[in-house]
Amino acid sequence: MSSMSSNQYDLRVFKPEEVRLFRSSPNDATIRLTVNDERSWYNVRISRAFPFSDPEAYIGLRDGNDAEIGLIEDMKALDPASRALLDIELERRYFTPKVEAVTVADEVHGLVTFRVKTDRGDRTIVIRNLRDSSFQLGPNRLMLVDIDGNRYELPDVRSLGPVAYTVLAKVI
Amino acid sequence: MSLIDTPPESVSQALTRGASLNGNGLHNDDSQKRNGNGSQETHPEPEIRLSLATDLAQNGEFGERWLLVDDTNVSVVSYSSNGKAHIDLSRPISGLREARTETLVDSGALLLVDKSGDTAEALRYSTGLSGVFAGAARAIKSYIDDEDVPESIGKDMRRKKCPTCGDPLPEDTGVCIRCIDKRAVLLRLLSFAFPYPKQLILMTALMIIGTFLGILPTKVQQILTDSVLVPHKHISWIPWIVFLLILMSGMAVALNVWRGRVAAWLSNHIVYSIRTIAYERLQSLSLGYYDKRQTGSLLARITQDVNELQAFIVDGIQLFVVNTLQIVMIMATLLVSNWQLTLLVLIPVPLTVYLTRRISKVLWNTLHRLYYVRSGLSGAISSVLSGVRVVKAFAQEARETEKFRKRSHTLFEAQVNVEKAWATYFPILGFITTLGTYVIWFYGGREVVHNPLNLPGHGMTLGYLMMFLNFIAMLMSPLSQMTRMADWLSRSTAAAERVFEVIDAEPDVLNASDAVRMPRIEGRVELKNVRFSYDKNQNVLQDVSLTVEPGEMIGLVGHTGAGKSTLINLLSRFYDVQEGAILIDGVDIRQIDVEDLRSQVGVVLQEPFLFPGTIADNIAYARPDSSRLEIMKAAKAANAHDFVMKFADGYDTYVGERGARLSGGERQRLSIARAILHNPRILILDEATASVDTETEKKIQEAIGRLITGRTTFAIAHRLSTLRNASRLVVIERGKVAEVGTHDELMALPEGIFRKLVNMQQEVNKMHQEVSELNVV
Repeated sequence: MSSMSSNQYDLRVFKPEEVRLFRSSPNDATIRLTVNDERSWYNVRISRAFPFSDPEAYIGLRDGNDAEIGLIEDMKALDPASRALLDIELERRYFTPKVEAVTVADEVHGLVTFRVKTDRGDRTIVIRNLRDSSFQLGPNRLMLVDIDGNRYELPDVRSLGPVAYTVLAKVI
Repeated sequence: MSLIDTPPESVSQALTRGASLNGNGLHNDDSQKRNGNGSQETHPEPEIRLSLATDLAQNGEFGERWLLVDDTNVSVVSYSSNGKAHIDLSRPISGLREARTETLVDSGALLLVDKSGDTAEALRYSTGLSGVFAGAARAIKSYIDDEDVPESIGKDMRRKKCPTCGDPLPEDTGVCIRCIDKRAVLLRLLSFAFPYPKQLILMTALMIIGTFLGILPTKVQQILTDSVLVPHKHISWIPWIVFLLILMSGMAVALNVWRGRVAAWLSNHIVYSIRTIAYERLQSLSLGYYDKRQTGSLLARITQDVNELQAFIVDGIQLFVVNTLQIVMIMATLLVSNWQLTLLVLIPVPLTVYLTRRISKVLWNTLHRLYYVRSGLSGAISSVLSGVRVVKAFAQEARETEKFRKRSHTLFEAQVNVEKAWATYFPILGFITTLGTYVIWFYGGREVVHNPLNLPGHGMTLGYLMMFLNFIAMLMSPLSQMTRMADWLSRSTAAAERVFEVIDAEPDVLNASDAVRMPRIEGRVELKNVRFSYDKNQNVLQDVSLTVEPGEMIGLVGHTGAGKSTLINLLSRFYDVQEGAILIDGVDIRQIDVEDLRSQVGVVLQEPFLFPGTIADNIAYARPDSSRLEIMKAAKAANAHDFVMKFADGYDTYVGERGARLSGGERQRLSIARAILHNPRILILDEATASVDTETEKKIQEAIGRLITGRTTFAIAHRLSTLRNASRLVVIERGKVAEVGTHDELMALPEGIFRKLVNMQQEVNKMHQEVSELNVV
């Protein structure tokens, strides 16, 4: 097993056929991982290495103590059952709503209120100090942090219409 | 209790009906589990102990869902916008082992673990509700263990909302910018001028007279035109009228100068008072207040917000009053002269006001973008220039130049946009403001023509026509200023409100109204079941109990983040415990007069802070009235005297920012001298010898040895060898007391944490020794 190097400073990248993910039992929400049907881990957590720039590549698998077990390079090549479970778990773990449309954008003395449609439903976002609460992820791509610490991704600011653009143009 | 939100009726009914349902419109997926034994019982009126709404639905989208806990079950009920409720999950409390939260990316989940170890996700919530559901998990755990829910749970966990508009209130100010009562704020702002009634009255009088004198010449010009120039009469009046005009203008200028000087003194005095009061308040607030707010945001209150106020108080209020007076006086004169024409002239005014507002908004936005891009560019330049060695080392000059070119081009575009907007809107605005003039020429001109004898009772005279034109020109500037004034007023009242919020803040750590005076503390310290967390989310200390006798030295040991420093913060009463109590000489620390307590608790920190000033000033910081001899004695006892005397300026050596550079060990010994002079009954040493060499450590150890005699001492140290003199050692592990005992007792524990830590340090020391021996060879 070339990918399971013994050196702790080497990245362990699993081949898709080596990895199997499943629920420990029907009543248990935690995930179990077996590698080559030889070793098994309970309560496995997953994490994306590049959640914004390449969310499908390099999915990290971590044990109950949050130590890395290894990485899955290409989740598409996993067996269908593992792949389905991974999809569910990624959907659960990564919540960040993506803003698809802005219906109202209003700025009063540094307090910006957006009424938005996101892929997770409608929401009102209130942001204080737009400059300190917005982060550029790429050209025309923004991350906003609202007054409660919730984050929202704006994949393409220019597609959100003039109402939003007037307010957001300042920070892109 | 604060863990109760009021659920919609159908949600609470779902619980009552849920167990006995079928046919009542509610569904229950696992009603069998509700009472733990599979039988179906009805719950006539289950007493809800906890009910909280989450903002995420079962499908992971935004929606309403409820966590309800009654006497027997933990349930999750979905609520849809059509008013239907649906029990998604229900678990008997008796079948649960644990309730905890899991932090996800931008959300969190409440998990229920049953006795067999199976974990079920009860619900998810967005990040903003993390604190609320962390409290809920702890409450459920208390129900499982059949314990009382600690009082602190649920307190202040929800973001406060503005009672008027429902907008969330910013945590650090609690001020709703939309809804603040501008008049009340303005009045409070002006109330700072009330202690100076003479200046206030003088300034008001000067404003009224000055404004009146400012518009009077226009009226005199009308008289000159109609009574002298047109009828060619009273030619001898001309020099007198001209003299009068010069006199009036001169007096108006003189009065305005006087008013400006009085206003400068008065308004800056208001700002000075506000700044001083706000700073005094900041000093008196507890550390808990600072934790909740970023230092930057507090600095902004004292500097930016007060500056904003300064601009408004110094210029804004005067401008506002003078403009109002000017508008009222001019309008009154115009209406009395010819009310029909006045009303006609006013027709374009609403359009002007509307356009000014719109244009200001567009200009404001383009200007904002320009500032943003410009500051981004200068930030980028400064970071690349400070990292220029890295850029060159990796030969990335071309890429950095290209990145800069792109940013520079964005700045160019932003600048062009501002200039274009400026060039476009201002001439248009100028044109619109002159529209009133054309109305006057058109109607007034016709009236003048129909009044060939220029008689006042027979229509408009030439003099009145000129007066109208002059007054309209004079009116436009205050009118356009007043339209921008509304924004300025809102911004300034918001700034004022933020500053007042600091002034009105109540410290968390308050002197109790029945505080006990303790002029001399003996030094017996008891901790009883102390629990504390900074953010109400995660416990830093839990169930810590310890009794320390007067004069004992307690060494606190544990990994980084174990809770040692927090314990020390509680002993200094920088924060108050959330549960349990700390007693000093049998009195609850919260009951002891804060000044008495602080004057008898001394602290030596890991990174001693020296204020800008002389060495003597720094040693005498806690007792500024100390004699020179006392200062030197303290320094001698702290092993500091010898190095101080070697400085050219001795005890008068200036230290702190831009002062003499002292080594870590020297600073540390000065801070020990400070503590010795302070002569505390309870002493706290926080990693006092962390970053010094062995020789210096020895000197500091000697100094500490002298310092701790006869005082109750708590010492934190990473080098465990420095705690050899401690009466007892307390090992703290994940917020709990794990081991207590003397050095020898703890070393005797075969699997003890302390023993492991000592062994590890010895191995590291051995390695260091071997390395240095190799170097010598």
